[in-house]
Amino acid sequence: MKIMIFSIGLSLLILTGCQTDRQRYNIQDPEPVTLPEGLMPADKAVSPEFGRGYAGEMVSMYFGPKKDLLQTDPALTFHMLALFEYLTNELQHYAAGVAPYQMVELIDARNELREVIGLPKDISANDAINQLYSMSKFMVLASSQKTVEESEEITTRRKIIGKYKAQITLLLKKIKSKQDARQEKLVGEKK
Amino acid sequence: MTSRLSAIIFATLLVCQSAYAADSEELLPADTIETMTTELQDELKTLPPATNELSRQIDSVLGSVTPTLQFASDALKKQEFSTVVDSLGLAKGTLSVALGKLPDVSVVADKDLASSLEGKGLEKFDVENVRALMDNMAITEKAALPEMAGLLDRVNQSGMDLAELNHSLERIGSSAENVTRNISFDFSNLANFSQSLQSIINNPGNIDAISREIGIAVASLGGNLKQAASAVAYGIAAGVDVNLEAAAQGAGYGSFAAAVDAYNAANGTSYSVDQAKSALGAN
Repeated sequence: MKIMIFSIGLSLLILTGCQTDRQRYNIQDPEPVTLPEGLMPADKAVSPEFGRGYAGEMVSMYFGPKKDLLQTDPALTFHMLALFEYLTNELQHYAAGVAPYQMVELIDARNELREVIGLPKDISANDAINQLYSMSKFMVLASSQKTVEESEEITTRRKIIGKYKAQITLLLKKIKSKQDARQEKLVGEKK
Repeated sequence: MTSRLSAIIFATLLVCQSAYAADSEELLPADTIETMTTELQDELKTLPPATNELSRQIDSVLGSVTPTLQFASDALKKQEFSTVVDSLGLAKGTLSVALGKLPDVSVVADKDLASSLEGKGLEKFDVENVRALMDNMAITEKAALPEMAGLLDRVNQSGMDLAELNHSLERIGSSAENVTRNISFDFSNLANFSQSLQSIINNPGNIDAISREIGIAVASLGGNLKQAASAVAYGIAAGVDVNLEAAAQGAGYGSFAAAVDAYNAANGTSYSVDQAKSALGAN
């Protein structure tokens, strides 16, 4: 009996070890994308290697030390989100050398972003990149508008209301998403 | 000896299984709303003093939102999600009402905007992309809102004291019923603006080594990116509405009435301005 358990355990261990990390973490190859003109400088868009480098630099900078700028500039934000979608897609390429467990974290971050923005979870990378970049261009038009000045007293209150209304909206979206996930899980378990 | 070895193998398999369970569900942290409420309270303390009646009224509304959020926070700790959604919805609607009471910050038209819409800045496919994204934003927004019918009754039954909220709403000439109407304002706004975008395009007058290193560096930011994503998302949620409004005006809709006309033209409807405002919950 003990030998049987030992054999089954050993077999399972061997079988588990036969999968590559990419298979285990379900990392797919990048989806084909048509880059919108202007998403990145022409010399960076000539190859995935240059594109990844450029997108990586931009995302690191604007999601890192300069992230405060994004909160006041929706046009820049949507541009960076488009680059982030591009980067997450391209880094799935084996040649990018990203460890699968790191890739999973990136994909999780991307999915979370899609969720809060309102992009469908299963949207193609190409559609996501193009929609986000078009929205960025659209926001440039909006940003070129000047607003009428008002007193600091009112502006501060307007900002607080806007900020917390936005936070509550995002919380509601997250709760909805959790509820949907639970529902899907329950349906899956019943099947 | 054999049984010890079996146990080790079994334990190893368990560890492997849990390590690879990448899709495990992460619940919303119980202190999420509490943290937000504390931040709001701190920010309220740093507000410049209210020197006029409007500011005092707004402060009263903001003050009454805090207990609503605390109620939502308690419900979250008890995992009572329907109560959380109802009370958060109420808080959101209240903030919408307050925002509606602030003076309209009309945008000053930019003379370059029209020409930038005429092909230079925005192509037809861009408008279609923007519209697709906005449609999804509206759908996501709507799906996350509480059920309007019976909302106030449910909130009352769940034990929330609405007296302070009602009192502050009365001060700005509003009511809890107005709040429930305003809860749906944002998604209606997004959806309607998305529809009217079509008329913009229908009107000719409107419109390796380095990368690998960087890639690995970015990938190692995974957890931080999630935090950054949340921060960025707040900026988007707060900024998109304002900018869309500005874009609407800059794109040729000098006023809400003009946007309603365009919407009617594009969709074969005949809404009056008042009807449209009512439909959007702005009255």
